Amino acid sequence: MSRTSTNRRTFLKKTAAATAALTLTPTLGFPNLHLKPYAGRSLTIYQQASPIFEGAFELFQPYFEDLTGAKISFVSIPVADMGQQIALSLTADKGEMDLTWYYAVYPLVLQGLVQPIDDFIKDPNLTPPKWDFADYLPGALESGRVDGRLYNLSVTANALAFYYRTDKIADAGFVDEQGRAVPPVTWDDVQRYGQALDARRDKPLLLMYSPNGTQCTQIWLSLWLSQDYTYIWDQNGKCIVNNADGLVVTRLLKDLLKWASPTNVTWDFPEAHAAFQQGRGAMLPQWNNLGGIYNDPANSLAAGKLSMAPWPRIKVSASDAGHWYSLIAANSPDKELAWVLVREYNSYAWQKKFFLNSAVNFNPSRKSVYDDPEVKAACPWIHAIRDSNNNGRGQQRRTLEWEAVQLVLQEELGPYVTDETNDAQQVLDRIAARVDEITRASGRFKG
Amino acid sequence: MTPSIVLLLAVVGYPVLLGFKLSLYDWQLATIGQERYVGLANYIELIDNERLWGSIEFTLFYALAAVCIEIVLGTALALLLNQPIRGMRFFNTLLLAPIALSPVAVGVTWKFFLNADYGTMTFLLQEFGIADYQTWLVQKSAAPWVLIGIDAWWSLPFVTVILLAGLKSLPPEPFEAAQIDGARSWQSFFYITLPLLRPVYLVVLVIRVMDALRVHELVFVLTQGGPGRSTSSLSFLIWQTGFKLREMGNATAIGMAFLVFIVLLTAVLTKLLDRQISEVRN
Repeated sequence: MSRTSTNRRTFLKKTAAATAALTLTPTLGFPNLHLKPYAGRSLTIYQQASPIFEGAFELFQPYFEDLTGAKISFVSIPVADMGQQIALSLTADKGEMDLTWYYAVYPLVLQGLVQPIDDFIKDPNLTPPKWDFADYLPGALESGRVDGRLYNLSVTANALAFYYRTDKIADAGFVDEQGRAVPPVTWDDVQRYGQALDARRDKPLLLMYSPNGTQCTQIWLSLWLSQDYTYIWDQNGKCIVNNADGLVVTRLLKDLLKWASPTNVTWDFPEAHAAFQQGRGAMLPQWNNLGGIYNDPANSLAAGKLSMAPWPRIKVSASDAGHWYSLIAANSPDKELAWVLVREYNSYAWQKKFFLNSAVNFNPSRKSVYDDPEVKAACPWIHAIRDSNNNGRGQQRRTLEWEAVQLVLQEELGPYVTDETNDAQQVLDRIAARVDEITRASGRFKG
Repeated sequence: MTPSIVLLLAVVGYPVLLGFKLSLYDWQLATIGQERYVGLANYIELIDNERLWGSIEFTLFYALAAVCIEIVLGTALALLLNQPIRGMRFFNTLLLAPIALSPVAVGVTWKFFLNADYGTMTFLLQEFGIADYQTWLVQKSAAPWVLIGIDAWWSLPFVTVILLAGLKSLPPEPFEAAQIDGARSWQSFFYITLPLLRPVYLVVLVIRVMDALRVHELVFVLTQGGPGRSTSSLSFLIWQTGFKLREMGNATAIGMAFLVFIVLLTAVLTKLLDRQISEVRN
């Protein structure tokens, strides 16, 4: 072999070796260096300024950023401003928001501002089969479907349920054979319990009633739903609240005040919430995602002494349902990444993690999480959460007129609750007339 | 002059014209870009709008009551502060403190103060044996007066300062002459002080009425327009119609009608003021 060919061969060998070394060194020297699938991309989430949601974000952010290489940022907005901020972003050519966790969604969905997620779910590259879509509570899925298309997988499913103090109920004598506190099952039971506990000088019922807020109307609405209605109008769009069932519900709303603090008429959500945490009262109709906070000794004097029951029934146990929906903006430049985010925090592992974290305590939408032994052990009333979420009837919120209707309920029920008027039938007749005007204007009223 | 006019047109004129244009459309907040021209339909709808008439009634009543209280109390305070009393500078400072607060801070502070369970008002009522608690903010008859009272508390320093400045600028000669003629202090006040202060009162009236008619933050923080609709001011109604009910076209129409009313009222009051100033000069 000539010297030239030997030199060439040597040169080629050395070059190959050097190239291999240069290629492999980063990987061998830094075994964690690998390309993340969404590196360099980012998402912005709009969310209510609340320690619950901020806590969830803080928990989830490191995991998601490590998984995808993408950056996620969180914009905290006061709840009164959320609607307009979301609408402004969704209707802009380039909105800031890619995803939001919000409750009043249907007007946005109906106007085509929200991205349907069916195609993401069907895409095997974006949603692996093991993700198990069939694991969802039917009620939770139904809440996210509009005109046959799915728009949402809730970050937390909520409905009104019934918290109660096991010690106070037991002391009043409402116990089973094993001496365990028995919660009220019907609203007649609630009144009976109220009377017994009130006789012990313990104003037992904590209610959210302020006519200056919206919680009073949600209590009334959940009483109406427990008369086995789904809407306040019939199939022709005519408002029917001024029937005999409505009269029972409205009078019950006022009767319940007999067992509440005399200042209860000024109470909105914060007052009722704080009173229970302070250890006052024995019964609290409240959203079913707050159990973790009420049972946390760092936050609540009721910790260790409470349980939850499904919404008491008149005819059925059914209450207002208010999911916090995950909505992907139709104008987001990275809808696929937003879906990956939704997919990930809707996994079994993350739904369980969110639920078990007492500061977050998001209710799961997956059936399997409700059956998880660790979840059952952590939450003795998990069945009440599951039942109230499954029985919740939030369908009415899926109408464009709902905000206007809710305002009418607030304006008319408030004076009745505060004794400005005692004529329940007149109040209901006015509500029916005003709601009919709204549904007539919307075209829903066929009559 | 021209740059000022250009600036005024840009900052005031253009938004007003755009607002008027938008009020001619059926425009829902969730459908920007899909507005439908409806002409004067939004304005015609206002005639039958129960909420609007209720808000007009409350807003006018609120402005009238609040300003009357402020002027009466402001006059009394100004007269008091005009006295050469020791320590008056300290009281001046204390009196002016509410001016520094933002309306939202005022609302939130009073909300805590008036809380029926743990508010300071409840404590005071119990201490003096008057009542166990109060629920004024949720009573239809009382809630408007609570808002008026808070507004008066907050605006009183401003009114007092203006009236005090007016008092200090009055010439001493008429008072000296009245004293020589044996006039009593109340006669001096009604026949000399008040007439001479008329232009100052009109300035206060114009400024305070404009402010009071635009009340929003106190309503938003304290009552949300409730109970019922008893404290729904026009500004609050505009916000509610536009951002809660998402009917931006209707909200803009209400806003335009409100603007016309304010402009007319300002014109009338300004004309009155000009006449008063001329009379005083003559």
